[in-house]
Amino acid sequence: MTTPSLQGIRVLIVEDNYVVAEALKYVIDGYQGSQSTIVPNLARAFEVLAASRVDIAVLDINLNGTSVVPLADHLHAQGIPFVFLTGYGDDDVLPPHLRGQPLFEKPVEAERLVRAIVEALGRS
Amino acid sequence: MSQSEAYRVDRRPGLGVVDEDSDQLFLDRVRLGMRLILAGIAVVFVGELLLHAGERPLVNGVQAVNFVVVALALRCLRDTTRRTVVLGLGLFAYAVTIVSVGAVGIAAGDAMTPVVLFVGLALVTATLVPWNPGWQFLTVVMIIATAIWTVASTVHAPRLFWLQNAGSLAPTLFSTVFLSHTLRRQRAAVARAVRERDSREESLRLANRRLEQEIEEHRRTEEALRFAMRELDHRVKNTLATVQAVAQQTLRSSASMREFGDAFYGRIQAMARIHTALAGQRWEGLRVAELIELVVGPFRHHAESVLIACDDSFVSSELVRVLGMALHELATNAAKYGALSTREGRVAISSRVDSGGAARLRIRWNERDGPLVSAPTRRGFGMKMIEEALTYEGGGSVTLQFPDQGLRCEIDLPVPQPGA
Repeated sequence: MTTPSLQGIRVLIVEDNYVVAEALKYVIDGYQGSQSTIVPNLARAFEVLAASRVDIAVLDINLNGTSVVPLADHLHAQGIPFVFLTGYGDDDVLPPHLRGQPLFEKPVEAERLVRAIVEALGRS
Repeated sequence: MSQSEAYRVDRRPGLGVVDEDSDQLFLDRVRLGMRLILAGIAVVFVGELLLHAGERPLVNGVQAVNFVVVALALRCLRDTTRRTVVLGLGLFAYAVTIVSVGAVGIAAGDAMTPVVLFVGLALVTATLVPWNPGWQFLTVVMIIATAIWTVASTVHAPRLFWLQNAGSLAPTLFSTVFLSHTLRRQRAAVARAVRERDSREESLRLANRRLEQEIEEHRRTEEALRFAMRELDHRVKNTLATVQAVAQQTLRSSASMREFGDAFYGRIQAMARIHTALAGQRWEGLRVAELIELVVGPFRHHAESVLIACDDSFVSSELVRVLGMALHELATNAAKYGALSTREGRVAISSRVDSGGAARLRIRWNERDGPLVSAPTRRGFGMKMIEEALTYEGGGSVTLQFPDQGLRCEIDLPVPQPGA
C-alpha cells in the first residue's frame, strides 16, 4: 500500500501518559507533514481547541479516571473528526451515540491508526 | 382463611369458656364454683330458718354440715395448683352437696326446697364446665331434669331415693367433668402443635433468609471479581502500550543496539520495581524516600554515593509512576555522565512537602565531586522524561542546571492534600 499523506494536518492527541503520547505523536507525525499536539487532560485540550485549528483528534477514553466523552461531544458538535484509543477491551464505556466512531485498543498498530485518521479526514 | 384462624381457640368472654392451659385459671374456676355453692347453701339456710322458724332441725343440720364440708374443701385448695387435687376436692364438694340436697329433699318432704337447690347447683355446674355454651346448656338441662325427677321420686317414694337416682346423677356429673377435662387437654395439645409449627416455620424462614444473604454475597463477590479482571485487562493493555512507547522512544535516541539494550532494560527494570512496590502497598502510593531508594539505590557505589534526606511525604500511585521514571532518568544520566560515574561522586537528594495553601512536593537533586559537567548538546528521551513528563502528567515544574561541580535539578509538583 502507498504511504498515506497527512500534509499540513493538525492532530490533537489527548493521552494522559506522557511516554505513550510522545510515541503517538512520533508515529503520526512520522507520516510526513502533520503537526501533532499532545495534551494530558480535558482542560488543556479545550485550550488548544480555542487557540488553534484542529483537523482531527485522537482521544484516550479514560484520562486518569476522567472520561473523555465531554470533549468527544464537543468535537462531534464542531464537526471535527476523531478516533478513540482505549485500554479497555470494549467500547461499552462510551454512550451509544459515540459507539460508531473508530476505536483502537492499546497498544496501537501505527499503520492502522494512521489509515483510520486518513479515512476519517476523507469522510469529513 | 389463614392458618392462624384455623387453629384459633374459642375465646368468647362472659360465657365461662376459655382455653384451659393454665392451672391457675382452672383452680380459680373450681374455687368460684365452690364459693357459689357456699353462697347458695347460706341463702337456702337463711330462707329455711325464716320460712320454717327452725322447725325442721334435720334440714338445717344437713345444710350446715354441707356448708362446713365445702368450706373446708375450699380452704384446702388455697395452697395447691395440682390438677388432680383440685379436681378431686372440687368433685368431693360437689358430690357432698348433691347428696345433701337429696337428703334435704327427703327430710323436708316438699318439692320446693330441692328444686331451688338443684337449679342453683345447675348454674354452678354451668359456671364450672369450661367449654362452649351448647355443652353448658345441655348440662343445665340434664341437671334440672335430674332434679325434677329426684324431687318427684322424693315426694312419692322417699325411701327409694338413692336407688333411683344414683345411676342418673353420677354419670351426668362425671361425664360433665371428665369431658371438660379431655377437651381442655385436646385444646392444649392443638395449641402446642400450632406453637411448634410456628417455630418451625420461623426457623425455616430464618434459614431461607440466610441462604438468600449468602447468594447475594456470592453474587457481589463474583461481580467484584469480574470488575477486578476488567481492571487488570485495562492495566495490562496500558502497560503494554507504555512498554511499546518506551521501546520506540528509546530506539529513537539510541546510537547503537548496545546503547538501546542498556537503556531499554534499565527503564523496564525501573518500571518493574515501581510496580512491585506499588502492588505491595495495594496501589495506594509510596513514601517519597522509599521511591527514591527504590529507583536511585541500585546506582550506588557505596553508602555515601547517594544521600537521601526526605520528610514522610507520600505520593499517590499515578504520580509515583511518572516521578519514578523521571528519577530513574536522572540516576541513569548521573551514572553515565555525572556524579555516579565515579566512586568519589555524591548525589544528595532531599524532599519535603510545603503545605501552605495547595500542597507542593519539592525535590532537590544535587550532584557534586563528579567529573566536570556541561549542558548536553543533544536532548535524548531521558532528558525529555526529566524535563517534560512531570510537567505533562503532574502539572509541576522542573528546573535543570548544569554548573561545573555537578547537575542540579529542582522538581516542584502539586500533590493532593492528605484527606482531600
